[in-house]
Amino acid sequence: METHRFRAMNTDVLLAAQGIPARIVEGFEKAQQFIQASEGRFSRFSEQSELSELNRSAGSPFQASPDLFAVITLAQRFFHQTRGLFDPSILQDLRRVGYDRSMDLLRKQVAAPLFESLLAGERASFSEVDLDERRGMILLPPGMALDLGGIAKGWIAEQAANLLSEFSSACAVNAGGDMFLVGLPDGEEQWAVAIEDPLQPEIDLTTIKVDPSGVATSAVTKRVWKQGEKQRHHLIDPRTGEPALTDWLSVTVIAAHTYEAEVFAKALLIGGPQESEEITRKCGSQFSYLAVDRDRKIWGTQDTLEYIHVH
Amino acid sequence: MKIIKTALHYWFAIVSVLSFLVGWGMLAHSLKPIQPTQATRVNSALLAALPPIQAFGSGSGIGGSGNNFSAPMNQSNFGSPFLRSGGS
Repeated sequence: METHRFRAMNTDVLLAAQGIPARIVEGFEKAQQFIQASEGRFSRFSEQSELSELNRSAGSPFQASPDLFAVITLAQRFFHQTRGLFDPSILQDLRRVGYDRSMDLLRKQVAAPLFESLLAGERASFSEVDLDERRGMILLPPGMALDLGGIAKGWIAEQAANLLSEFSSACAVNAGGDMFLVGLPDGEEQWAVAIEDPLQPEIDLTTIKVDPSGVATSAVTKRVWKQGEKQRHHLIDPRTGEPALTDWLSVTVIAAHTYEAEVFAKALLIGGPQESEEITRKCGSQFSYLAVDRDRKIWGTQDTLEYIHVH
Repeated sequence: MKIIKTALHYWFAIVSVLSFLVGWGMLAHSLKPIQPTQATRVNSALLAALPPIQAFGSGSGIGGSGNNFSAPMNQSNFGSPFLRSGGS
């Protein structure tokens, strides 16, 4: 299995593939190019990105590329399925709590300014975004701005893996823990994925064995910064407009698609045990999850255990 | 007076039993922590003993094979690459 690493989307990306080396090199090149081009399209930190253009167009119809239109269509579907816990329209709240530049830049500064005067205000619902499928037009309500961070990362990882699979019999793309697995490595019956301890990321808490699918983890302990005296993290609870107060520290989801795993991991983490029960009742057939609490206890349902084969 | 007293006794007895049953039912259907099994511990121990990912290969650079892609490529000793997920 050949591997290739680089940094993109403000995270570490790992490409892994088996097959003929020359073909794999070509596949790595194509996949990396795709990831970097997609980052340019979906990044909210670049003024030139298509997403930034869309955000500036709020209140007027916007002609979107097929990729952006596809991701926003998916986002709206998941907004409803997660009862609004996954909500890409929280960008103004993210900026208000200090996440107004890339995490790489944010980590270099001492503390983001605390804008006490900017309180979480009323905003339009993401369900009000108007999508014209026939013409590929998107109309954001006035004042709305979107952050497609997680769902876009999952979507990009999956597309890149599918691209890489044209050059390889089995491959994986792992973008900061959001991964898509295609085929099976020679001699293996499943892929082994180690789950990090959210309190000590250098240590693995356990290993799961999964079939070719999407895997994603959301954690409140990763993208953190100081805003004034307050400790902040990047997972905004759409119900409050503030970083979520959660019972769990991380949630890992296994689903057919990486973007789906990413969305449900975020929603379950924000919602905690009670909301998770409701979401699982409604959409449980779409995913399996594994949550880690502050005492490092692993939570999930019995069928999750059977499905993901924790050994 | 005696009738009221007797009725109250029955009332408390019934409410106590019902509350106990409802509480039992709720606990029985709530999420339960998955206790690490023996197998989990064994596997974690095995993983801990494995060399870190950085140790695989040393940037052997298969890149100069006639195309422009020259980024270093590593080769994993495992059939399956060591993938980790923990959020980013």
